Amino acid sequence: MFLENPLKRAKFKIYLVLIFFIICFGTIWIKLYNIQILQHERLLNLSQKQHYRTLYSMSQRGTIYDRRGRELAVSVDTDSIYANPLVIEKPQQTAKILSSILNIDSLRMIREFNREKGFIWIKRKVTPYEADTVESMKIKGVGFLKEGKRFYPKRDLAARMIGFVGIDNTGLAGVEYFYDDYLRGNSGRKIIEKDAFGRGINSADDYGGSLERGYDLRLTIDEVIQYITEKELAGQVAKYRAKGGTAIVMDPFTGEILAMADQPQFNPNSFNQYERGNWKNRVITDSFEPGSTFKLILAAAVLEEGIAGQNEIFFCENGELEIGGIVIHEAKGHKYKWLTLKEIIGKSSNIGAIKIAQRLGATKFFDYIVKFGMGSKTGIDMPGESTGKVRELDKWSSVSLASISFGQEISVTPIQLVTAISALANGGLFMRPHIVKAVERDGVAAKVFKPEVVRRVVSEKTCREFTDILEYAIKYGTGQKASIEGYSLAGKTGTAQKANQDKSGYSEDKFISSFIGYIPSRDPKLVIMVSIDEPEDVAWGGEVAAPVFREIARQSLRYLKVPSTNDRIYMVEN
Amino acid sequence: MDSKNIFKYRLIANFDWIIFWLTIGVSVVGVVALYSSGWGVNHESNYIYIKQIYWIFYGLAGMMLILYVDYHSLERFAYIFYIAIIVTLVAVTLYGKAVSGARRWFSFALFTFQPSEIAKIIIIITLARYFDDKKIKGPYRIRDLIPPAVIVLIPAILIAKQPDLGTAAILFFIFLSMSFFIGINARSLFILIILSLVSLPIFWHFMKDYQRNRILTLLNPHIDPLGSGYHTIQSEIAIGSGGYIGKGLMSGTQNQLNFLPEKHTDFIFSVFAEEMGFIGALFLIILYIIIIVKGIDVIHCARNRSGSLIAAGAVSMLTFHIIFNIGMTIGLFPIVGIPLPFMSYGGSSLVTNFMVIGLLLNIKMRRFKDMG
Repeated sequence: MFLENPLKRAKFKIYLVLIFFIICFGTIWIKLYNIQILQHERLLNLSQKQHYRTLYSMSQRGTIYDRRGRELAVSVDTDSIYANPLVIEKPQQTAKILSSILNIDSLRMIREFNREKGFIWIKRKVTPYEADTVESMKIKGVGFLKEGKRFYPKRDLAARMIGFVGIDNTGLAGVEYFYDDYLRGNSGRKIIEKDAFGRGINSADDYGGSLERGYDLRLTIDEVIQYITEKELAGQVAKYRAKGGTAIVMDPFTGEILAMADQPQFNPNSFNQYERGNWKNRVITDSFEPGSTFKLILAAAVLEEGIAGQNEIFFCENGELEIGGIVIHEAKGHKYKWLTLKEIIGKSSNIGAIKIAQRLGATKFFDYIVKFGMGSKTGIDMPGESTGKVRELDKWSSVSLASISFGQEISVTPIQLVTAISALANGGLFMRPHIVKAVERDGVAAKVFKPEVVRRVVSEKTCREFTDILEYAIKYGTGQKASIEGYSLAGKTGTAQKANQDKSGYSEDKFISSFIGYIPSRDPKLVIMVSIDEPEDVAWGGEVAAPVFREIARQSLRYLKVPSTNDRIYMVEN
Repeated sequence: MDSKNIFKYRLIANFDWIIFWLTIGVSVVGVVALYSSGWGVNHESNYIYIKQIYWIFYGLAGMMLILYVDYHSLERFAYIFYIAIIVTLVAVTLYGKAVSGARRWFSFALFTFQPSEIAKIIIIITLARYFDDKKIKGPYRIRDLIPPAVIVLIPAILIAKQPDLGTAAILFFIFLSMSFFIGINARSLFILIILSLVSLPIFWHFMKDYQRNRILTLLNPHIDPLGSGYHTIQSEIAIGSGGYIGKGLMSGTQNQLNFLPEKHTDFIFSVFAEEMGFIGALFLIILYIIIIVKGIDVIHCARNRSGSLIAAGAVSMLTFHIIFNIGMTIGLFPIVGIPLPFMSYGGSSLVTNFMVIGLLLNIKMRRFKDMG
């Protein structure tokens, strides 16, 4: 054996002990130095991630009301579940439990848990049952935050106008998007400090009170008229198995939109179940060739210019007119000879329209098209408005004047057309259409959007004559099916062939049937436009669109308590 | 009467005040750390430091008790103590109070008592007694070590079953150190090492899943950073975020906000290192090293071999506690529940450690024959 000498053995042992101590405490010091000095930055950063969390704009979103204060969009407090992965002790088990309660992918959650992050969402805006169940599990590192969930109590009512919000409560479409700055409340970051159990540890946790609630919006929409409009439009679209349809109800004197409908329906509570193309509000985003309803712009221009009175006669060429090598016929094969201006509009003569346009001249016609707002945005307070397409005057071909006179070779949006006709209904003022009446908080208006006159388009005299023509069109022309007993009505049908997708010309069986008019004609309360996209079997606006107009007008007038002539007779008898 | 007074005087004259005051010093640092760790949001733990102060006084009383009795008398009754502690350990596995799955405590009206703590002292004394009885010329061989190994193994198994692997391991290391001190044959030492290496897989087999996970995460902390690695990572974050000078007392976010687990007991060092930084941690470790060095000094100046043996056991016990605990908080060792002497909250452990210091002081005080 080595080191037989006990003294040497003792010395050897002391050295061994010394080496042992140097190794042990040396390692401890090296490791401490490594952690506390070399890795200090990283670990300090990690520690801050664990207990500081940035909250983005958790303030409650404002409510959207209709014009009479009925709720269309509200925010409901819901629980959102988050986790601090750095605090979760058993990620596998936690992921398994949470995935079974919340019905989410546990593998994805484990991946998330393994990241060096201090905050991840597990599931946002859960049901009260889910929240209660998770809370009862008392899992360390899993916490709850109150978030406002947007809820649309009237479901698809006015859905496309209102729009919807994303998971972060930012508006993604419609008014929710356009007025997001108001609705959202004060945005911004808020840093809060949390302990291992996700409890806030200082006053910053009371963020609910310290953040200001968003402003409320009061729309110009009337819930009841909106309901009537949507119901009637949907009924007719279904009846004629049409591809879709739009309807607008507007107050001609203020430019306020009372109702705006767009078929097929759309439920904003579950917007992501719909195709993206279905989210948009076609009333303002999609333009179409208006067809005969565009003859109204022509008529107004002629009246305003004094080129022809309403009883001036035009020769309608026996139903056949060749222009630039193209032979133009009347609808339904009519063969008109001499028609007054009034009759041309009332019977919707294409050749008559061409004759009028020719007398007016391309330059003046173009001026009025622009004056009536075609080719430019109306400025309605909704996102995605399109301008439609108006060919520049210098690009007009030999047939352009003729085509445009009865509403082809030009495309307009429903809102443009309705705004233009409103100008004729209200005595000549082009109003900016709008959908929000006021921005409010606690019922007190913070900002009011007053009716805004954009420009005068025609004189009041022209408007009176114009109304004569449209009343005639209802009584004796194509719009008879729109007439309502007890109210005088001014209106016009339109049946536009749709242009083929391949631009090869116009389709023989695809039409947009429309009707536009105002009622009561001498003191209009409502301007209504209805268009039905590709109805089957019957295409004529007078057949398809006019009845929708009549029903919307009849029910809305009754709801608005607009006295009919029948009422007056009744009152006299009393 | 006169001679007795002189005797008492000389005992006091030989009292090692440095060890005593260092121990008190570390205990006070411990109380401050406990006070600070309870300072934060959850006020239910605010009074832990007051309880710890009480325990320090109980510890001092225990130390006095040990000091008063000549350690030779303790050795004389060693086997009786030994049987008593075995019975107690059996009883605690049967009737003890379970805390988070471990049956380690007896619950009394005012406090809980953890017999495995006291067992450490008794094992030291019993081993000393055994080696003292069976004096062997020259270094010990394996077969000579079998009986003392059994003496350690019985309580160690009982404790390991509680389950408290940490304390069981400490007993094993006390046994190793005392064997090393009396001198093991080099070949035997070699065989012993081989044997322990071979027995590792067997240990592995008997371990619970969570215990295996702790060892695996130590080897590679990123296997499961949030599961069994959680304690280690939280502790490293706390210590590491402290930096050079720490965040200051009462300002350690990781312990204040409860991210740090077991912050009053096993991870009190992390609390201290977070708030006092690298400098503070170095200072604390130096205090411990001085205590250990003074303890080694006691081994050398003891009057006889049994005194040296007991001192060796006592010093090794303190040393391994310190190394394992700190090593665990900084990720060098797997997470086993070993408290940091005089710092960790816990009555049994504090009283036991004061009694161990008492043993060292006792041996040093009585190092001259004529004073026996």
